[in-house]
Amino acid sequence: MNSTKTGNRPRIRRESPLVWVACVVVLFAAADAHAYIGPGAGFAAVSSMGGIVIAFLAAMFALISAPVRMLIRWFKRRKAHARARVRRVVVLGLDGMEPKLFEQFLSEGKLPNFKRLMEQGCFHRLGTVAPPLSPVAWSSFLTGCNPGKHNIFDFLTRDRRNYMPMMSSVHISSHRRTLKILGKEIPYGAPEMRGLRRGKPFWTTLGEYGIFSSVIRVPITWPPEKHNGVLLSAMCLPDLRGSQGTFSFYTSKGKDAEHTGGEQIHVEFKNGVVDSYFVGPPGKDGKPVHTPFRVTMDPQTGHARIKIGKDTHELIPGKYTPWITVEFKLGFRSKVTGICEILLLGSQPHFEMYVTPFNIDPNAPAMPISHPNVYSQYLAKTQGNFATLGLAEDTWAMNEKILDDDGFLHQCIEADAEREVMFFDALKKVKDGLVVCVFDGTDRIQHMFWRYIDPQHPGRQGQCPADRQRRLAIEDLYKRNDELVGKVMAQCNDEKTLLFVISDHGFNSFRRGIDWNRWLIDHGYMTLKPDAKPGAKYLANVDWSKTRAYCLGLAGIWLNVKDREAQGIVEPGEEERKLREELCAKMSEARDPQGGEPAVKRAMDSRVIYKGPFKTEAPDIIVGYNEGYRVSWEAAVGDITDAAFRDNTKAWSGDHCIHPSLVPGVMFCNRVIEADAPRLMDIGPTALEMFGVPTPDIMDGKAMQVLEWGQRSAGAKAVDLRREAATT
Amino acid sequence: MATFNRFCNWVFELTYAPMAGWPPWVSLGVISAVIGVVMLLAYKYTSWQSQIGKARDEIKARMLAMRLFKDNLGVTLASQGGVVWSSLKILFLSIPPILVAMIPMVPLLAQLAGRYQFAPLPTGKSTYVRAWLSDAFAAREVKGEASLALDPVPGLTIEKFWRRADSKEAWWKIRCDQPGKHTLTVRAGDEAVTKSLPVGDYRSITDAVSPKRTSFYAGALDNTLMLPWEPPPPADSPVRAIEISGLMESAAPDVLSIPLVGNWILYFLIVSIVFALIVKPVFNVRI
Repeated sequence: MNSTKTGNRPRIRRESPLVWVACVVVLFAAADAHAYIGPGAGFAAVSSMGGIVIAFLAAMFALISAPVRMLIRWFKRRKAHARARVRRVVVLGLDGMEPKLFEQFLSEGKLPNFKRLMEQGCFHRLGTVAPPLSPVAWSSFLTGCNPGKHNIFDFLTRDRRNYMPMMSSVHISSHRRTLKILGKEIPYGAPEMRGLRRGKPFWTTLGEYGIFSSVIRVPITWPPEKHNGVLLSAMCLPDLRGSQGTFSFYTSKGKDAEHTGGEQIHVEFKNGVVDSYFVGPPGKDGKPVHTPFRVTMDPQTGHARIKIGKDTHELIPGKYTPWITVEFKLGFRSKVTGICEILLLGSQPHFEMYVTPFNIDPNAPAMPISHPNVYSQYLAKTQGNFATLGLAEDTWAMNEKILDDDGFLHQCIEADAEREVMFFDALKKVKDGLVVCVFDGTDRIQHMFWRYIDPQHPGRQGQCPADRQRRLAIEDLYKRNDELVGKVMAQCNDEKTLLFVISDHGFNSFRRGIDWNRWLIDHGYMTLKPDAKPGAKYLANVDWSKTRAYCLGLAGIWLNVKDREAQGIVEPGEEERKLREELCAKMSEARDPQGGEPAVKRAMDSRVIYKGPFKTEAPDIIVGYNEGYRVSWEAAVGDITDAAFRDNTKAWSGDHCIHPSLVPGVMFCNRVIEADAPRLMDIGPTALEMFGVPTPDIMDGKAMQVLEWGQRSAGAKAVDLRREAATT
Repeated sequence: MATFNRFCNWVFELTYAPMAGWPPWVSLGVISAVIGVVMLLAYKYTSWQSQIGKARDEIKARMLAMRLFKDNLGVTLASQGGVVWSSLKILFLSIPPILVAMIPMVPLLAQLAGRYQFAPLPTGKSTYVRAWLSDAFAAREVKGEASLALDPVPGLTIEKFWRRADSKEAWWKIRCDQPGKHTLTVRAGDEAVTKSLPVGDYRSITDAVSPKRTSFYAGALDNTLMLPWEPPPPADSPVRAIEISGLMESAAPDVLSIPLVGNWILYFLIVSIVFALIVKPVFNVRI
C-alpha cells in the first residue's frame, strides 16, 4: 500500500483567532461534557494531557539537571572561557557570491545592507583554493586545511582499478551482508556509506571545548559527523535512489530515454488519463521499486489530479505542487519514503510532467542526513518538508531543456527560503556558540543565468528575453541576499556576536569548453583504440598501453602512472615528474584557435601546490583556466570529441572552475579585520580564536586579526582625523 | 424520550443478543473494541485533522528542541510552554468531535450500564425499595386520606416498611428468597406503579438490569435517558419514582470479574482507546 501526504511550505503558522473564540464558546456551552466518558474524550486526554504531562516532566528534569550540565559545560569551557572574545560566531555562506558583481551592484546603490555591514565592519576579497570548486573550497573552510590534508580535490575522482569516475567525497557501497537460510541468501543491513573527506571540522574542535554548533547545509558534511551540536548535511547527500539527483520526465511524445541527470518515461495519454509509476530506490532484488500513480486531466480547467495510493493532489500547469511524500515498498513490512515536487508542464498536444529527484524524507530519513538523526525531523516538524538532496536545485533538468528558466528559478528561491527558516531558527536557539549556514541559490542561479549578463555568451541564443525576472535574475538574487543580510544583522548586531558573510569562490563566464582528452591525443599523450566507437563515455575508447595522461572530472589531468593506475605505463619517479612539468608547461600555453586567446592562466603541479598526506590523491595537474574557459562537458565524464575547443551552449553558462586568483570569494564582517589577503581557510581558525580555542597545529589557516567591537582600523582612523581636520 | 429509549433498547438487544452468554469481560471487550474503532473514524471525520496534525507536529518539534538545545535553558522553558500551548490547542480542537460523539455515546453508555454496571440481586439478600411520592399524594397519605402499599410477590418477603411524615419517600425492606424476574407493584391510592427486580445468577438473566424507574429530571438531561429500560411513571402518577437501592449498589466488579480492571467503565475506556490506537495508522487518523 502506498500513501502520500502533502508537505507544508515553510511559513509561520497562524490560526484565525475566530477559531479559538469558537472553541472557547463550544467548551463553555458544553456544560454536560463532563458527564461523558468515551474514546473521544480519551483521545483528547491521551494527546493533549499526555503532552502537558511530558512537558512538565521534561521541565522538571531540565531544571534538576541544569546545574549538572552547566557544571560539565563550564568544566569543558574553562580553558577557553577566559580568552573568549565573543559568545557567538555566525557564518552566513553565500555559495559563489562574486565580488565584482557585488561591487557593481553596490555602486548602483542596490545593496544597502551589505553597505551598512561594510561600513560597520569590513569587506575583503577572500582567497579561495585550487581548484575553486565548492566541495574543495568548503572542505578547506571547515577543516582550515589545504586540500592536501582534507582529500577533496574535485566532485569526482577516478577509480584506479578501471578509470571510471566516482564520487570524491563519499563512498557508497550497495553491498549488503547476507544471511544464508535453507540455501537462500537473504540480504540484510544497510548499504555502507563512508565519508572520504579527511580532517576535523573546526566545530568539532569547538565541541571539545564545550561550545555548541549549529551547522546547516555546509557542503561535504555527509555522512553527518558527531559533534557537540546539530548539523544538516548538504552537497553530496544523495537522493532516495542513491544518485546525486535523478529527475523524471513523463511524456506522451517521446520514447523512454536517458537524460543527463534524469530519465524520460514514455506514457500513454488516453481519454485524459495517464497511468504510470514513480521510480524509487533499488529493492531487494536490486531492481528499482515502482509506485504507481494516475493522472486525470480536467478538460474544463486544464488542471489535473494525480492519485498516488489513497491520496490525490491537484496539478496546475506551470505550478509546482508542495512537497509530496511517496512511499516505496521494498518488501514485506519494508518501505521507505521520499519527497518530491511535481510540475505539470503541459497536456496539449502532449502530456508532459516533471518530477524532481526523490529527496530523502526528512521526517523519516532512509539514511542519516543530520546529526543527531532527529535534527532533520525537528526541522521538518518545525517548518514542514524541505529539500534534502545535496544539489537540491535541478540544474540538469534545465540543461536538458526539461525545465525552463522559471521552473528552475522557482526551485532555487524555494530552497533558499526553506534554508532561511532553518537559519533563523538556529539564530534564535543558539545564543552561545557557532551558527553556520550556507545558501546555494547564489551558486545555482549564477551557473544557469550568467548568459543573460554576458553578451558574448554562446548560450545566449539571440537577444536577452524581455522577461525582467530572467534578465535580472542575478541582480534580483543579490538584492535578495542583501535583504537576508539585513535580517541577519538585525539579529547579530551586538558586541557579543561576530558575524561573517562569506562566499567560497566568485563566478565567471563559461563560454568555451576544452576537451583535454582530444588535446592530449593531438599532442601525443593519449592514444585511442583502433576500433574506437564514437560517443563512448568514461574513456572506454582509450588504449591505455599507449596513453600517458587523461582527463576526468572538472579539476585537472591524471597521469597514467605505473603501479598506481590499473594499466599505468608512466614510470613513477623521474619520468612522472618530468611528464608533469612538461604537461604543465604545454597546457599553460594552450590557446583557443578561435581568437587565439590563452585558455589557461596556469596549469599547476598538484605535488607543488598541495601539502599534506593526501596530496598524492589529487589529479596530477590542476588546471587554472582563464576567464571564459573550463573543461568541456564531454571531457569531464571521459567522453572524447573531435575538437579540443567548443562553445558551451548549455544553460549552465557561468562557472568558477578557473584559476583561483580570478574567482576570489567575498568576506564581510561586522567588525574590522586587519588582513592583507584573507583566505577561506582562515575563517575556521579565526572563529576558534574568537572563542578562545587554540588553532590545531594541523590547520593551514591562520586566525585573522579581528578588532574589538566599534574599533576602527589605524588607516580608517587616519582618514577620519584628516576629514575632521578638513571640516574644522 | 420513551420512544427513543424503546428504539435504543431494541437496537442494543438485537446487537447484544449473540454475546448474551459470553463472559462479561469478553463481550464488553468486543463492544469496546468496536466502539473504539467507530469512534476513531467519527473523530477523524468530525475533527479538524490538519490543525490537529499541525499541533502535534508543533509538540514533537518542541520536544525535539528541548532535546537538541538542552543546554539553552531559555529554549527548554520556551519549548515547554509551547508544548503546553499546543496541547491546549489539541484539547480545544477535540471539543467538536467530543460533542458529536456524545450524541451516540450517552445512550450507548446507558445501555452498557444496564448490562455491566447493575447486576441482579443474589438470592437470599435483603434490599430496600424506595418510592418517591408526589407532593399531593404524600400530603393525603399522611392525613390518612389515601393508602400506600407494596403488593406481596411470591419469592420475595417484605420485611419492613418505613414512612416518615415529614418526607415524600417511602421505604420497604425486602428479602429476595427465590431467583427470577420479579415485578414489584407499589399501590398508591387507586394507582399502581410497577418496577422490575431481577434476582439470581447474572448469567441466567440476560436482560438489562434497571435499578430505578423514574420521571425525575437531573439537570438538563432527562434521567430516563440514562435509565432507559423502564418507561417513566405517568406524569400524573402519585408515584414519581421507584428505586431498588440494592441494584444501584450492585457491585459490578463482583459480577464482572474483569481481569486487572475491576470497573467496567475503566475497562471500556482502556480497551476502546487501545484498539483505536492500534488501528489509528491504518485509517491515518491524527488524534
